[in-house]
Formats: sequence, C-alpha cells, structure tokens
Amino acid sequence: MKNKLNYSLLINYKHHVLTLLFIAMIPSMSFSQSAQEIFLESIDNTDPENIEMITTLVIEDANKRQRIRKIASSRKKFGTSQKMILKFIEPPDVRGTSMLVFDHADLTDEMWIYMPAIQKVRRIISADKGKNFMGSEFSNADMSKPNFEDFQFSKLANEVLDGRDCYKLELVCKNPKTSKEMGYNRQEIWISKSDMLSRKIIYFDKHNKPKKKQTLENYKMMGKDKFFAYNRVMENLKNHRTSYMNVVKIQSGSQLAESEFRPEQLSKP
Amino acid sequence: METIIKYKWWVLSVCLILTALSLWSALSIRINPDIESYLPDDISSKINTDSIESIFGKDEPILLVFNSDDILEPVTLRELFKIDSSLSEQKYFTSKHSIFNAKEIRSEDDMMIVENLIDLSQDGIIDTSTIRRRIRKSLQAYGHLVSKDFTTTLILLNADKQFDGGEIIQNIESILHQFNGEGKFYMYGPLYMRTEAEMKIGRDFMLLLPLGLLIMIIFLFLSFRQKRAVFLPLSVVIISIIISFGIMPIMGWELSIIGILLPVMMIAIANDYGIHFITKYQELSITHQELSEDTIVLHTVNYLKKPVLMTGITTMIGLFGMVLHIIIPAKQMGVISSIGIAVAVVLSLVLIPALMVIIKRKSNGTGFLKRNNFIRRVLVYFSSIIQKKPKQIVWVSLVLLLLTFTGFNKFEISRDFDKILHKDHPYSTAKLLTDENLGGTKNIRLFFKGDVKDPAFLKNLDRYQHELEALPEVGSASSLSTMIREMTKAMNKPESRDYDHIPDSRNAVAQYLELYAMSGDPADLEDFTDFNFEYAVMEVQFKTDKEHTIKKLKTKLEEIVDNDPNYCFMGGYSLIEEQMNRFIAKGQLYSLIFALVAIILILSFIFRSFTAGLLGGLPLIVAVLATMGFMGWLNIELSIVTALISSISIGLGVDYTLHIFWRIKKEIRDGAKYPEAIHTSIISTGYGVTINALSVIIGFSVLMFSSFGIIQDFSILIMFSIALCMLCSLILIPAICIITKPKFLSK
Repeated sequence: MKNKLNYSLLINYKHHVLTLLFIAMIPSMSFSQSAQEIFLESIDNTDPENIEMITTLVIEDANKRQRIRKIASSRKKFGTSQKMILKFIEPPDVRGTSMLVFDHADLTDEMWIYMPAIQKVRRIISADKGKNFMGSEFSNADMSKPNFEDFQFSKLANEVLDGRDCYKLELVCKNPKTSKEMGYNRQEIWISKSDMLSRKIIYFDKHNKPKKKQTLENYKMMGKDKFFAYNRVMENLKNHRTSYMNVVKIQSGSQLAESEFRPEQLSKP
Repeated sequence: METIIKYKWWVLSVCLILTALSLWSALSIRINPDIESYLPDDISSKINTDSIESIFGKDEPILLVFNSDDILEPVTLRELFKIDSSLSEQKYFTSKHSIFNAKEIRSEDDMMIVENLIDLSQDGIIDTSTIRRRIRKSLQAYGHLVSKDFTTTLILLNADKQFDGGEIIQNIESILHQFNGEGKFYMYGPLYMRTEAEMKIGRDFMLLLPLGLLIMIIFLFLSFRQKRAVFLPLSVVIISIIISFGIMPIMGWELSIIGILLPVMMIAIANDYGIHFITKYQELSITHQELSEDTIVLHTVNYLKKPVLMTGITTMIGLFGMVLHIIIPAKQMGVISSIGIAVAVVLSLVLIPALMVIIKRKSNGTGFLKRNNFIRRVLVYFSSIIQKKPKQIVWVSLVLLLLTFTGFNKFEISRDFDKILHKDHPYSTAKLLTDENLGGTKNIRLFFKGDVKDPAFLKNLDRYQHELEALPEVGSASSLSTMIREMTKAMNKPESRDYDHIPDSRNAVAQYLELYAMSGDPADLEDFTDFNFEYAVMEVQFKTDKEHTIKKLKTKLEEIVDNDPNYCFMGGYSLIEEQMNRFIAKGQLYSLIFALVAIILILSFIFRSFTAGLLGGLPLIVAVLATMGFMGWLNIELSIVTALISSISIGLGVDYTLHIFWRIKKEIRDGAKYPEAIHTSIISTGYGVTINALSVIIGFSVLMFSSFGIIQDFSILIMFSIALCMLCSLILIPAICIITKPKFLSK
C-alpha cells in the first residue's frame, strides 16, 4: 500500500522531479568547456595586445655557458595586425640592433632588421616561422599567437602540477606543413583551472618524442584582466640547451604611434 | 716421454678440459672493426682531434653519394626529393645536409631573402634552369653538395650515436631501395665502413676457418693416405686455435681485422709439427716394422723433440716481433700467435704421441712417400744443378733479387684506411665520386683560439682560406669567415665595398652573427666556432691520390699559419690515418729488425757459430727484400695487414734452413762428404721442407677468399715469401755451403 502511494506520488510530480534534475545538471553542463574553449580562454587571459617591456634573454648551452641579451620591445595592435619593435640594449657589441615584426592575421608576416654597425635596414623574407627566436630555444612561433585553425584540440586527463589542479590539453598540427613551420607535431599544455593560465607546455616531434619543454611562471596582472608570465623557460630536451626569458620591466599599453612602427624608424635612436 | 705414454689418458683429459674452458671463453669474443681504436690514445693526432671534438662535437657522418647523368632531370630530382624527405622522417640522425635543405641567403631589392635553394614541396613543373643557376651561385652547394657538372650530389647525414650503427645503415639502405629513378646511390663514412667491416670480419671467420680446415684435411689425406694422419695434426690445429681465441677475452682483447689472419696462420703453421711427426712415424713404421707401436712413437718423439722445439721457438720469436708495432691489434697478434704456436708445439710433442698410442694404426699409409713422385724428381734435379753450378746459382739468385727489388721504387705506404674494403665495393665508388666531383673525402681541422669576433682574426682565416683553395688537392676550406661573408652579401649591394668582405669593426661582426642566428640555422655557426666565440676551427677538405699529399698539405698548412698567435694545432681523421701509416712503416721496420737479429742470434747459438746465424738469416733477408720489391711491382701498399708479412715470413721461413742445416750436419757427422751430404739433405729433409712449405702456402691461400682486399694482398705476399724461403733453403743455401764449406756444419 505504502509502495503504491510512493510510486503514484512520483508519477504525479514527475515534471517537478525532471525540472529539479535539470537544474542540478546546469552547473556541470555550463563548466564542461571544450579543449579549444579552454585554450582560447587561457590565451585571452594572457595576451595583452599592447605592451612595452624590457626582457633579459639568456641562452644557455648544455655546459651551462650563457649568452645574455637585454631587449627592449614594444607591441601594439593595429586593426588585424600586431606590430612589434625589438631593440637590443645589451651586450654592447649588438646594442642598437633592432627588429620590426608585423604579425598579420590574414597575410604573411613581415620582418625588418636594422644593423647599427653598417647602418642598414633590410627586410627579411623567410618562410621559416619555426626558426629560433634570436638564436634561443624559443621559436618565432612562440612569440606570436597561434593560428587556431591549424590545430586539432582535445582534452587529456586532468593533472595536478606543482600543487595546482590543471586541465591538460593536446594540440595537434592539422597538416605536415604546419608541423614543419611550427617545428613540432603536437603539444601538451597544462592550464591551471583556478586562473586559466598556461603553466607548462611540452612539444613533441614527428616521432612523438618530447622535443622541448616550456614552463611559465611568475604571472602578474597587467591592466584590468590580463596576466603576463614574467619568467619563461624553454628547455630543448634533445640538445640540453635552455633559454630563459625574464621580464625586467613591463607596462601595459604602448605610447608609440603607428608611424613609429615603420622600417625607417628603426635607424632612429 | 715414456711418462706421456704411460699417462696418455690423463694427457688427453687435461687437453680436453683446457680446450673446453677456452672454448667457453672464446664464445664471448667481441668484434672491433673500428680502425681508429687500433691506435693508442696518447698519440698526438688523436689527442689533438679529441681536443677539437670536445669543443665542436664528435660527428658520425654518413655520406650518401648519388650519381647519374643529370641530377636535375625532373623525374630524378623528384625521386631524390622523396628519398631526402624519407630520411628527414627518421629518428636516427641528428642533422642532415643536402641540396633540399640548403639555404640561399641573398640580397634583392633591399631585401634579405632566406629561402631553400630547391623547393619541391609543391607539385608542379620544375624549373631546372633556375635551379641550376641558383646552385651555381651557392658557395655552400656548388662543388660541395652538387658537382659542377651536376652529375653527383651528396646527402650528408650525422648519425645519432645512441642507436646501433648496423640498425642505422639498414634503415638507410631500406630507404634507398625505394629510389625509382635513373642513377645510383653509394654510401661512404666511418660508420658505414665499420658496419661493413664488422659484418665481413664475421663472415670471413665463418668461411675461412672451415675452408682452411677442409683444405688441410684434403692435403693431409693426399699426403699420408691415413685417417689418423689427418686427425692428429687436425686436433693440434683446432685445439691451438681454440686456446688462442680463448685467451683474447681473458686479456680484454677484441677481434680486429688483423685477427682474421690468426686461425689461418694456426692452420698453416701448427699443422707443420704434426706433419713432421707423421712423416717420421711413417718412415720408421716402414723401415722398422719389428718395433712396437709404443716404441716407434717414442723414437719419433725423441728424434723430433729438438728440431720441433727449435723451429717452434724460432717461429715464436719471429711472430713475437709483432709486439713492436704500435698498432694495438698487431701487438696482440704477436702475443696470441706466439702463445698459439707454443701450444701447438707442446701438443705435437705431448698429445699426438698420446693419441697415437690410444688410436692404433690400421695401415702404414703411403701418399707422397712413393719413391719417385714429382716432388722427388724436382729435388733430385735441384741437387744435380747445385752440385754442378753452385756459383752460377748464387749469381742468378743475386740478379733475380735485384730485379725484384727494383719494384721497391714503386713501394708505397697506404695513405688511408679506405682500401680495407675491396676496390669494387660501393664504398670505394662513393669515395672516388666524392674525390673527383665534390672536393674530396678527407679533411683536416685547424684549431684557433682568440677573440673570434675580432675582424683581424677573421681576416686571417679568410686569407688562409684563399691560399689553401689555390692548392690543387684542396677541394675547399671553410670557416666562420665564409659565413660572415655570405651575410655581408645578403645585407649589401654588389657594388658596395662591404659586399663579400669581412667587416672592419667588431660590432659589425657581432651583429652579422646575430643576424645569422635569427635567419639561418645557429647550429651551422657551431660547426666553426664555440658557444662563447673563443675558439674557431677551419675545415680543409681535400683528396689524396698519393701518400705524400697529406705530408705536403700538412707542411703547407704549417707554413701558412706559422706566425699566427691564435693558431693552436691541427687535427682530424686524416691526420690520424697519416700518423697510423707512419707507425705501420716503423712497426714493420722494428719488428723486422727484431726478428732478424733474434733469429740470427738463435741460429748462432744453436750451431755455436755466427756464420750459421748469418747464413741462416740470408734466405729471410732475400725473402723480405724480394717481397717489398714484389709489392711495388704489384702496387700493393703497406697496410695494417701487409705490415705483418715480415714477422710472419721470418718466423716460418727460418725453419726450412734450420732443417736443412740440421740434416747436412748429421750427414757429415755420419761420414758423408759435402756433395753427398747436401744431396741426401735435399732429397730427404728437403722433401719434408717442401711438403711443409706447400702446406703453409696452401693454408694461406685460403685468405684469397677473404672479403678484405688487404687480406687478399697479404695472402699473395705470404705465399710468395714462403715460396722464396723454401727455394732459398733448398737451392741457394746448399749452393753457398758447397762453395764455402762452413765449419759449423762439419763440427
């Protein structure tokens, strides 16, 4: 009798039960982001479009010998193009050497270099985006935002990294051309859940062997809602070289007008 | 000796146990085909090369040399590109250089353009004439990666040492097998050489040892027509070989290319004592049929123990001379072969008698003991000529020796290790193509220390490069200055003073280097300078066609850098080869002098006469000089293997003269006159000497089936040398004895 009563109550109130169940599921449904969404969010959090900074780039070989470069840079977005000027401050023999980079969304990137010793500006046309940045283990591709269409995204099992609960994502180059340009076949990224910041990236070669490892540390807030990793370390797991990029000074926004981001301006002090 | 017969079963058991233990040890032998490791580490060329490699890394290059009528023919080029791409996919290489990843850095309309020399990543029509024009302009490619006539190109791989060499080579071969165009690939490089050599050492071992044993069995059976007569010497040979090889792992030694000679040497040499034993035994069995088996064996042992011991000792001394070589495997061969001979002598005097008593004979055997066979007829003829015309024999011998020795004008020491593989081997073809078309396969590295960014430093390097490239044998000279000049071409117009010119300021150099790091491959810089720009190296690529080319080039290099305070030293594999070849020549000389002097002294001691020593040494001197001349006539170079000829032929050849002296002395002691004594010695002992020499010659002939050209050369030379020793002991020495009637023979 009692059972019959319970069952009839369930039938009568089934609509309410279903509604309650649905409401209970909403939180988990809305937080179940796709890999691409997680990645986009992390990029969004850490990619101030306009920035000026002084960084120290340390290139260390397998025997721990170091080359140290101090570089001043300014980066600003104009329309769909990101423009960046880099100028060597140290060491003295390369002081004044400058680079100008236009990172276009829809066109091929453009690059110029100025050499103060011979007082010449030259545009560099090179297909290799995977090339080493300033001879370091960071590549030119690492210095700009990735093109999302070039990758397939997937989620791997979450992991705890340095006490932080992290999403672990896999980005696979969609075609061999991209893989060749990037210098790797796929990457695994650890993104901390609490702040959606990339903490570690491992790059894999075409034989699925780990090729490089990047760690990003010491995130600080820039402006209202962006973070910037003050310390980045890229280890080449094959030749045992390491490069360190450490921010010495940084400010959000750039005071430079678009006219300053021109090849002719490189030769000006 | 009676004890041996009494305890024959103990003797047999001990021998079997020792053999079993040695076999167990021998199974752990490792093969070492790395010729560079045959030299001690403390020689100057190795020390310098190691110093350079400690800073600039040790490469393990593999050169894939492609040859066809025109490498830029579209179908061929596409196929080459496929091969190149497949190689890029492999995990076995740390780097690859080819025309497909060579970069062109040029200046055009105030732009610096960095692009691949050839880009076939897209399908479509290949513009051959444009590619040809671009390659002609490329310092990196033209004449180095591509021959000037466009018939040959190179893919230079650097092998990752964590992988097995054999696996790497197999991987490359399977990729090259997929090539579907006109033309052919060849491989070159020390890793390929080592892999091939290792395989061939194993193959030679598996082929030559059984073949040698088979030939020995056939020879023994034809000689004695008795199974026991085959089995007994065979057992001595096999046990000696096993014990010799068993010692090697215990001493921590490895099997080298030279080690292939050991089993064949043991078959050829260790056989002899058994042959003498069987010959004497059969002789006594026929002439003294009334004696018991044990008594015949005892008489045989008592008769032979002294001559066998003497000949064994002289052979051991001759072989032991090899320890004076600086080449490590040659030293080891001197020790191991001496021990092997010692074991063979002991076994012949101990095991054979024991076995003879255990295994009863079924027949007396005949074979070559027939009274009037061909060899006997020839010996009778020799004897009659010697009796009639001894002086003419001496003169004719002298003339023949002088004629042969004139070949010494063409005698050469091997200039490198490349002839280890046969001249028809694809390795040799690869070398030839690279030497003729791509600047040469040899290189020397000049090492400098200083401020590498200093323009004065770089201008010196530039100057040296120009001077060196003017030499006909130098294919190219490359250094950091080459790369700086390439960058100046990319940043300046041709009419500018700065175009293709080392900058005048240090800052400019530093900035060009920075530019290269950004636009080229920073790893390229590290081929020529270290991380901190404190050391620099200049690579001089050249080809050798003569032994003195390296010497001449070294002298020239030393002249060029003579007053440069930044210059430290030179190194490189070519210098190691050159030094090794000097050591080979020295080792040959020292071991020869040692063996000759030792043999002369021993013969003097045995016969209590210095005249005996000199006379006994004469056939050896004749054999050595004639062999050197013969090498010149046949264009056989002195190499790590042929350098051992002197020691081995001296060790073997002295036995024949010793036996002849012994017999002449006995005959004279028994009352015979000189002519009669000599006649008897030639036709009786001479018969044993002939069989002995023939068995050695036949034994060494097996080496003609070796995979190594230098071992085939060794085979020809040792057969020639032994034949000469035999003829000298049977003809020249008796002729001299008839003329001079030396007192030591009649004492």
